[in-house]
Amino acid sequence: MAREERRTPDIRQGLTGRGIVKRYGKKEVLHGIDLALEPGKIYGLIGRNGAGKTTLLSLLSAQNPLTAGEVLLGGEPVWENILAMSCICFSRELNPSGEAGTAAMKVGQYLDTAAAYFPHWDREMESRLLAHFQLERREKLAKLSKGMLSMVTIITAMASKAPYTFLDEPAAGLDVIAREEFYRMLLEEYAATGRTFVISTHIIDEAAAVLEETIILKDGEILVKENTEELVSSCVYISGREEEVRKAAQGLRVYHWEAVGRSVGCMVWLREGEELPSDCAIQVQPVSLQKIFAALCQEGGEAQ
Amino acid sequence: MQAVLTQEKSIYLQIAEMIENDILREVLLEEEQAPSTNELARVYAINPATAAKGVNLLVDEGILYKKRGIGMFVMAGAKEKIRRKRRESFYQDYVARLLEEARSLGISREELIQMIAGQDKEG
Amino acid sequence: MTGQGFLAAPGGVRGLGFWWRQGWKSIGACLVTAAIVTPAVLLIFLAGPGLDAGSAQYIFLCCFLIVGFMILLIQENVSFQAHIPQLIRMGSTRRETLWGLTLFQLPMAVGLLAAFLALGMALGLPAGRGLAPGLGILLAGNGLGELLAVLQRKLGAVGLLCYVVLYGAAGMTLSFSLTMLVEGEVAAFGRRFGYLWGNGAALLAAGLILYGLGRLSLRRCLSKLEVR
Repeated sequence: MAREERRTPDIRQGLTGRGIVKRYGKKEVLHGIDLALEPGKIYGLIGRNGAGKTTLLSLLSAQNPLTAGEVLLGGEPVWENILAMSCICFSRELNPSGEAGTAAMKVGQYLDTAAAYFPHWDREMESRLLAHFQLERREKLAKLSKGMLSMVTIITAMASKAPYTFLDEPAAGLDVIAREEFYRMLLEEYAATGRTFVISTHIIDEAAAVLEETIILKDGEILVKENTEELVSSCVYISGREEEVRKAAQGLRVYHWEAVGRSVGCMVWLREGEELPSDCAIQVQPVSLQKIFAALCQEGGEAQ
Repeated sequence: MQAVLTQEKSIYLQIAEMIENDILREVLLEEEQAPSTNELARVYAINPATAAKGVNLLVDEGILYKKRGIGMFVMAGAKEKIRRKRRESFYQDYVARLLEEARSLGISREELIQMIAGQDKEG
Repeated sequence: MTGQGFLAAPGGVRGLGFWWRQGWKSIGACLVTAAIVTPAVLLIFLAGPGLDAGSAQYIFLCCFLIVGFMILLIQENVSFQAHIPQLIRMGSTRRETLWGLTLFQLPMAVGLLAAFLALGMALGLPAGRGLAPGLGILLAGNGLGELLAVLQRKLGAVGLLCYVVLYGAAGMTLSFSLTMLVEGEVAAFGRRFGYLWGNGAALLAAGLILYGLGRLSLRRCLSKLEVR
């Protein structure tokens, strides 16, 4: 059998997916995604249920085989590449009721097992976080609540020290204080190490300030990949009398058109260099990331 | 510092504004070290890149300056600079809107002047 | 492109500790279950035709081995269905799980082989003569375990049915071989074909073939395995 020569991938070159296609049976879930993750950034991956977020992350971390395309870390293929996979931690949502292997494990066993796959696993951090979340190593995963399972996945992600770390719904089941704590912890770790994180979440506004870039996945395709600040400042909600709003929105990208009585409103996503005309009697309001996401991903999103 | 960020405005602008406020109210003194990007990121739970963008905005305006290897410092004369800048936009930001609202409510110019004068006496 | 040459990746094997611990846990499970099930089987035999003490002892040991072997198959299936997806979700390569599974089989294989040889010797068979058939049976068991695990994954309920049928067939073959071996018929059978070790060699060869088949199908299956 031919032995391919594989070198330690250069993580500074980033993690790249090219033409990623994923089919489950006849159903195509991802349709040719190109995505480059740069080192040292926190990315947010958002999308509706079934948009393909978890699938995409599982492909980027070589947990599942691609139907077509390739995933490269520093130019090296990631699939079955121990050196590359040691640099990528995809800490998945735990679901002991659906997985026999997970159900039988205790917290300590789970962490010990995961630790084997990451050469820079941080034991000190692991025990600090366990104490912080008041989790015991001898507790069975099957007995933990959803929030506590999220904590285990967060500990796994943090302690792995993997240069590329993906978290799938880390906020699921956590109360508001724990969520805030998580984001603080994430920022602290990020400031200290400059690791790259990809966070998928449905609680968007809470995460918005933390995310340097936002990736919106819709129906198996990347709809948006932009700097979060720039995306938010390029989107506005305009409202007023219909003819005025129509005049103002002429030629612009308009989403989520809605009418309330005589007044209408819509979200406008300005391209670079575009501006709203100043001679229209309209009200202009800023929109949050969550609203932008909702407007872009609503059924029949683009209107007018 | 104001501890709450709103969703309604770019975060980096809010960060810059908060530092300016601190300088105006002498929470931060001239030639004193300003909070670092990482500190801001930690306190407000925001991405350090966003905090840096806010800080850099003030550097560009000559309100903060960078001491290599130490951090950001408040420029001498920063307070005056901020005052001047905010005075320039005071009419647009506050007075123009006040007049607009007064007009749509039918408050006359005289009434308005009286209100301001009265408020001043009380205060 | 995908799944190609996944045995070719260099860089060591991670996570073997997990499999090693599971292996020892499994041998414990094998022995305990065998020790519980065997007397039950024995009771049925004793209640039936009148058996002398020697035959009873022989049947007891035989049952013990067969049950242990069956549990080995089940354990392997469980580990395939449960542990492998779990480890892949944690960041294991598929190649690593394949090596892990081999390590997992080792304590059980060694334990059962030792039990097998002890059985042979207790019944007056030279240890050397039990080695080849014993190894053959174990290889066949592991290979069959892998084959069946893949089958079950592929075919679902139908696979499960095949699983049960094949389990039965494997069990019967095993007990038949054991009977022949222990009662000295191996030698008679072999002599008829002109060589004394024929049966042992045949069993070993069959074991190797089954093991090879099991490995191949497992490798193929692993390269396409989806974890949710």
